[in-house]
Amino acid sequence: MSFERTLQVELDRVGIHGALARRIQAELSDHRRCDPEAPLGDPRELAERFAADLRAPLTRRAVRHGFAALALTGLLLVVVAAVYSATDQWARLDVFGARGAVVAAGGLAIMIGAQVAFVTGLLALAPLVLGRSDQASLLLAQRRLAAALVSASVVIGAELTQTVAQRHLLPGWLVVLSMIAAVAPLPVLVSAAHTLRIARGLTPAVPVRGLFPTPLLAGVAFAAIAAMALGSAVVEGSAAEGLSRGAIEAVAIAGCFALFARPLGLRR
Amino acid sequence: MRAESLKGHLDALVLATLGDEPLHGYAVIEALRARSEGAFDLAEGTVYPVLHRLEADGLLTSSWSTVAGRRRRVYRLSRRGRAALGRQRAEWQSFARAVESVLA
Repeated sequence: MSFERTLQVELDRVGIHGALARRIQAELSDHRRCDPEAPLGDPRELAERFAADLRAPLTRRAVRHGFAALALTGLLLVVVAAVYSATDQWARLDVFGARGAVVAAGGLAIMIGAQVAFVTGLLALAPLVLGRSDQASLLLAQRRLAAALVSASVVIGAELTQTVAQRHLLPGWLVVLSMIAAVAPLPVLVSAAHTLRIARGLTPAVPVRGLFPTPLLAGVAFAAIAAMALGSAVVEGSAAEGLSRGAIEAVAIAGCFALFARPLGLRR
Repeated sequence: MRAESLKGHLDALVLATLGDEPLHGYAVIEALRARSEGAFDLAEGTVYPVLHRLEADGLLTSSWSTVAGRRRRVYRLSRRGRAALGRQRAEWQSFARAVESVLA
């Protein structure tokens, strides 16, 4: 088998596919045209070196882009909510009408999705801020970022669905603003997802160990539920509203914890 | 010089090689060999993963160019790469002075 064909097989084996594989092949082919006797080394070792050298920087880049996408999504969500409040649009929404279920489900998806994206996004940053680049830390950062990006996508989908469902009740300019605010983070989000997919392919599955003791996790969950209940009660001026939102928060946290605690390396 | 001796210094050497002008992979290896007067005779394949890693870390940028009908990936230092090279030069000079003062 030729050097090029063997290298292609080896690159594929270590998870380097598509445009990156073609670029490596093109560069090394050009090198061999410059010097047909060039000692490029064993294709297997070369492919493994590419994978080992690229998995950490690509994970870092995916996390940076992902965090930018999350921040932009959150910022625009807050801006649109502020515009709704400033122009008194919340009262126009038809929460109890035919499309009320869509609006309510969208609101719930935004509330839960935004929190999951925020928490998992911060957790994805943690191993990289701490300067860890071992395979288990990279794998954790990648899984957490994937959860954050999926959650941000859910938020964007819910924003779009809500806007479309209520478009006949809102002024045209606000519909356009809401749509633009929802889709604006998509290019950065897609770029992060693309880089994450490449980095994930380069990182072999290794056992990951949970980081946090259960009492600490329970304390953080309790603080989040209390903040939601108290904050809602104060903002809405209603203890019942505070209790109901606190209960929703508790159910959401319990559900997310059951789903994510082990794969995201939370529970020790 | 053995490859192990260069471990930990290859990033700085590659950045320094690209400090003067943009180069493609083969030219980087040739420049390393020439500037070290043949002392750095690397397994040539090892330089390409380093180039890709430095680019992924934002220290290099690259683009395709066509020379005599052949497509080549040409690498150049980014602003961050130039700053990193300055830091690594300063660290090396400080380290070399210290070693020299002990060994002399």
